[in-house]
Amino acid sequence: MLEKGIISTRQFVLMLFIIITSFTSLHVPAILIQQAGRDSWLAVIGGWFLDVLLAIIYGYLGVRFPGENFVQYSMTILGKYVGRIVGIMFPIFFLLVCALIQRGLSHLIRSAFLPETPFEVILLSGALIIGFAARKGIEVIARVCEVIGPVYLLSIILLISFILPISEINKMKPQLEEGFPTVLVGAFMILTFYGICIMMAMFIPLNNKIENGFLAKFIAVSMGAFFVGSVVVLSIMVFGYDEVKNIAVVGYSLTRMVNIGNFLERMGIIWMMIAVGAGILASSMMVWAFSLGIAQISNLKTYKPLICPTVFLSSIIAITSFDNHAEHIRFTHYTYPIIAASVESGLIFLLFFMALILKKRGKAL
Amino acid sequence: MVVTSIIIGIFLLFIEGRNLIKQKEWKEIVVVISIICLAIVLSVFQSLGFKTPLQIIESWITPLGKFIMK
Repeated sequence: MLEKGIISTRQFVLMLFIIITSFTSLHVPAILIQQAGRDSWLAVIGGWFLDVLLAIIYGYLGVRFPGENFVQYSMTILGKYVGRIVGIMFPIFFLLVCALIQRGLSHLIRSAFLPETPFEVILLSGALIIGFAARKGIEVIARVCEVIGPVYLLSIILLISFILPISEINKMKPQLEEGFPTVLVGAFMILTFYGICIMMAMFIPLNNKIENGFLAKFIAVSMGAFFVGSVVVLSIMVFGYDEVKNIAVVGYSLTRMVNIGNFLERMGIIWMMIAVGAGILASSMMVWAFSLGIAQISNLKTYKPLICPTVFLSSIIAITSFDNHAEHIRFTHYTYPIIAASVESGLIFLLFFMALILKKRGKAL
Repeated sequence: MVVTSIIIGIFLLFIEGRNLIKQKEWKEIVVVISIICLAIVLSVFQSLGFKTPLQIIESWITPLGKFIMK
């Protein structure tokens, strides 16, 4: 086994929570509000429900192929050659997500705090930390997630309690103005962002109780949906629908609205620190998953030498693939959901049905 | 950009490759070199004004995305 680290179920939950929230808290609420309007909260619930259904399949495959992640059981189910072609799609997808998170975080830091600093410098500084974290291995990342995860969750609970007094529920009206189709499309869209939790299939073999895979994902997605739902609802109730759809990072804008007795204000910096820390952790998990997946497909003895080149590659993808921030947002809005749906649902359904049809099981069973 | 990425690539190859050559892990070296070369090729593509793979994928998929989403 290339990765010998073991993680507990609590670490598993918090790692998935960090991945979901860091990916969805940046630009996704604004895109979701643009899509589903005042009904975004319904889309968040719909996406949560669909993702829990998908988690049953991931959990089942994890138990059917104990000790194997989806890169490995792709090869077990589909054979050496086709399995490798299907299996490599997952690491490539993680690389894409890593590049998107890196770019989103760098833009956030630059626009909020360092407008004069070149974008590449911010991105490469983050890349150094991502590489350092990923090289330490999954156990170290898991322990850091155990620290940052609860802080992140606490931050949203505090944000809700600080922002609720200035929010107006009337701004949520009218509901279902454009009917259910926009809600359903919104649910599909947010599902693709929650769906990055397919990472659970990389974590299940490392969990000390593999049967807890579904439970971990259920708890993590529920917490993540609560996080995204709260940000979406609060931002509409504070800024109003017409204004909020033009705000790039609504979570940050919300924290700037906190003002307790003209004393406790400018909380944005604290939220940013937590969000950036979580984003770096999420990116390092993506880099770890890419390196491990590629090492397994290529039959390497170790994945660690691939970590730094992978961080370099994802940084270059983040820099070269988009000329400006609008292009990045357009990609996240219109292209990413289609790619993600085909990997997160399409490939997993393919593996699930092929495992049933070909009656394949893990070697340990 | 291209020069910087080549310098970083050589630096990474030196750092990672040294131990791998000592341990005669040739397969690992090939994968490391491939990833670094891919990164450098991407930066060369961008400087020459070619579309990167992600931009090509985007041009294929975005019409479908715009059809489904607002």
